[in-house]
Amino acid sequence: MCALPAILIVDREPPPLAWADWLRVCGGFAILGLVLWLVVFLVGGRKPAPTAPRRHRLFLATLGLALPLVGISLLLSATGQFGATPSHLLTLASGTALIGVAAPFVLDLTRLRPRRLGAIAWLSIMEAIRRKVLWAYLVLVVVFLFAGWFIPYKPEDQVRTYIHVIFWTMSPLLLVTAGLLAATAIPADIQNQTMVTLLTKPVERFEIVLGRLLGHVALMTVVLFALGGISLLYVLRGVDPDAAFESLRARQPLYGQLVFERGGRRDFSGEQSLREWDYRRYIAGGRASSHRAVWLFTDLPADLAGRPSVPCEYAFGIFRLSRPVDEEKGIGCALTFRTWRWHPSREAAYRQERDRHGLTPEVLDRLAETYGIYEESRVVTNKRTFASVVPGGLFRNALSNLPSEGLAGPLLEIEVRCLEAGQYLGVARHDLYLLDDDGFFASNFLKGLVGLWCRLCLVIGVAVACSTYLNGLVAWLSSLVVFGLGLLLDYLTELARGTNVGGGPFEAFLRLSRGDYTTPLDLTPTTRVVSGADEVYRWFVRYVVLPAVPDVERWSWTQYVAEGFDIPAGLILPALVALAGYLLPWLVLAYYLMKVREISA
Amino acid sequence: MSADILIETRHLTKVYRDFWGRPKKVALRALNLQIERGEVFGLLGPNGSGKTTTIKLLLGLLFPTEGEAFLFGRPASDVAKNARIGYLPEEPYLYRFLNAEETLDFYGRLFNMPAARRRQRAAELIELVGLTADRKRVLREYSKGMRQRIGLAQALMNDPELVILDEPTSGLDPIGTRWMKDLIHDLQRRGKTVLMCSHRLDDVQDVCDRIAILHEGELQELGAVRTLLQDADRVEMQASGLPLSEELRQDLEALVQKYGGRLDHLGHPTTTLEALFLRIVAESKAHPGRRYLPSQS
Repeated sequence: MCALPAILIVDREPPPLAWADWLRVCGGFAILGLVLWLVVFLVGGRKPAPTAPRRHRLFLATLGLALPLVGISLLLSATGQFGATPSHLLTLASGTALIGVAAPFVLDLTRLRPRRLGAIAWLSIMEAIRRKVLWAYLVLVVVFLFAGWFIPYKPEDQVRTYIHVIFWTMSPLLLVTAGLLAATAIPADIQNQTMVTLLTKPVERFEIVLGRLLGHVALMTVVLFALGGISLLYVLRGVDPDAAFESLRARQPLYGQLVFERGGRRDFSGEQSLREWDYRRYIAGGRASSHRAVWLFTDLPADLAGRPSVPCEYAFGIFRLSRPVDEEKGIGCALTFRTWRWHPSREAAYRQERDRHGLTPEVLDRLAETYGIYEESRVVTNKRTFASVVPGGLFRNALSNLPSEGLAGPLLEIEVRCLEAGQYLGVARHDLYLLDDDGFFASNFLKGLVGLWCRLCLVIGVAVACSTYLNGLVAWLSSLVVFGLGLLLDYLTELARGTNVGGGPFEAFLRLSRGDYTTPLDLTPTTRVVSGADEVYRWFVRYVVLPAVPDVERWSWTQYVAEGFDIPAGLILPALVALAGYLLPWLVLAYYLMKVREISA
Repeated sequence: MSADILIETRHLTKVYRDFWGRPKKVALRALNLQIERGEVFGLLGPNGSGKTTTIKLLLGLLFPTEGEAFLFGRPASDVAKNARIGYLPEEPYLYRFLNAEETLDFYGRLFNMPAARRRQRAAELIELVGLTADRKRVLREYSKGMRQRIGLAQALMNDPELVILDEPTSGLDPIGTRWMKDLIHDLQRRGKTVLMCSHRLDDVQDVCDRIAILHEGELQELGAVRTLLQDADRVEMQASGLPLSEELRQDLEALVQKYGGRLDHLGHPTTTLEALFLRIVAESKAHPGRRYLPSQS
């Protein structure tokens, strides 16, 4: 066993892509937009332009369908008698509104021409180059030159520190400048009247929006990867051997599916800790405890069978009911690796042979290959990474004689038990993994840049969308606020759920004015009003603010690169889909704002 | 709408509103207008009379509060119509960080023109507007007259059927003004339709077939320039080879009185200042070194 300082802490897994939620959120905003349209243009007496009676009929029809559905859904929800029905009705209402709002957008997409989009994108790039905006990135060179003077690091932390410095410098530099460029382009066109000349050509208004977006994304992509390439050279020069061993690699962990077992049944989801928020679920310790955490591996690379051994790393949390004398001592836990070919009926034979031949690596390898089992007991400390060397024979056993029709269950199970009574072992899916061959650090570094690229696209998209209605400065600030709120998403979620310390803003104000920060509030007319106001505030945050806030942490993979872990493709692809899903409604909004905008002197 | 009518407005009205939707200013009131294919049409009026608003409504930059506007039989909001239009704004709103070639290439791409066609057309137009020597200079280094010329080139990039010119001679010197007017005549000869608005009434008089006079957003007068300017109460006669003398005056007075008229003026006609200026510049080019001497006056 060896303790590894490199720890990849995945405190919060990105939420899975939930299409129904996305549909409901976008549909909700579509209903809001349609109601706004109804009020401004019809009730307010404004004539929307360009004249499009067919579009108006579509808006009215979809609104006429969606609003009653929402009403019925709210009514049913209030009575609380129909279970999931209101949710389906809301989805139906959202879908209807979404079709009404998105249909003109989708139809107009057929009018876009690549040559025109390319021209406007090219213009954006030329504008940035000729106006010498790119000189701003020389700041990074200054950081490279002098960072080493001010940032102390231990030799083994060299790569880790450099990676953090690079990403922490590049992120704000690129995000701020990209947002500024993107936010000011369209307002400058309108202010300088160049928009007049543009719009007297056969250019769709949305082509201007999309062209600007693509141009800035293309420009920032080149800038990002150019700076990334230079940064990589900076990292790679004169690396300390210890640092190279720890971080200058791209470990490829193989993650299994985590299930919990209690009394031999897997309908258990682990115990919750008494902590306010915990990423992990817990299993009770002790020889008599029937709690198990089991990782199921349904797919393993075939080349594992050809290796003498495969490392398995793990870092668990510990929740203690009784305090030991030495907290650093750790607790014992047992790991059992079983392949699909293991059968309990052979346990006696296995144990007999194991006891007879001893526990040499050769014997354990042969036994693993023969019986499909490998066992190990370890002492682990809280949230530190440990490694076991699993014999290659286990994988030869798992990957041989596979039935042609496929397996019903997993190829390999890794069962973890906590051996000490009165202690709880906290586990999460990413806490245990097998290590495949290392990938290339350079390619992993580039994948890390993809995360930053996603954030850049996000800021550029929001900035361009805002700039179709707001002036440049306000649009830029808006994009930064949206991004900033994304960084505070966890806190906003707590606010929306009412689980944050100190309550909502009204309760917080009351507590501040009274100087009473902890005790529960008495039920008085004042506190009732304050609680009611906070409820309204929470409703607003939950249903209006939160859906519009991006989960920017989804696109942050610096930790992977810095700790020497390969960024899995399974993380990148959903992140790209999530980015597209987030930006699409902004683009639809920009389409309509641009469409109704008048260009006057 | 007849095929020969390129522009038609029906009761076209524009009211500017504030943020809350309250009416702020009536910029154009119930304008009814028809412009036929092949004519040069002038929009006249003082500042704030609704000329530019009319043009922006026709181009789809503004949306009408009431009424409709059609170009080539299609609504003004139809983007596709722009493929047949060339527009020169009063101040050429172009990207000053691009040079002349890049500018024309960019606008050519917006017309979805292939690269070879764009290059050829850009070269032709740069030569036409006399900027061949300056084609690689960025526009921020151009004088106002040069920007007006490159602005005109971008308006003609698509060889448009309808050319809309907003103050086309603004910023041009007399030679440039003459050149612009000749170009408008040339466009007309090639079958193009020209809609222009200008403050320089002499320019309008020189090139327009018909004019509309706007005041405070309302159409005040509409018709052919020649008809509108004709003074039916007066007769003009021009003759050459006659020396001015008292005897000629008396004879002519008697003749005019015989037909019931009155001789108001007899003398040598004056030329226009523009014609004088152009003649002097032409002579100066033909005879380098010629200069003004006090004895010549």
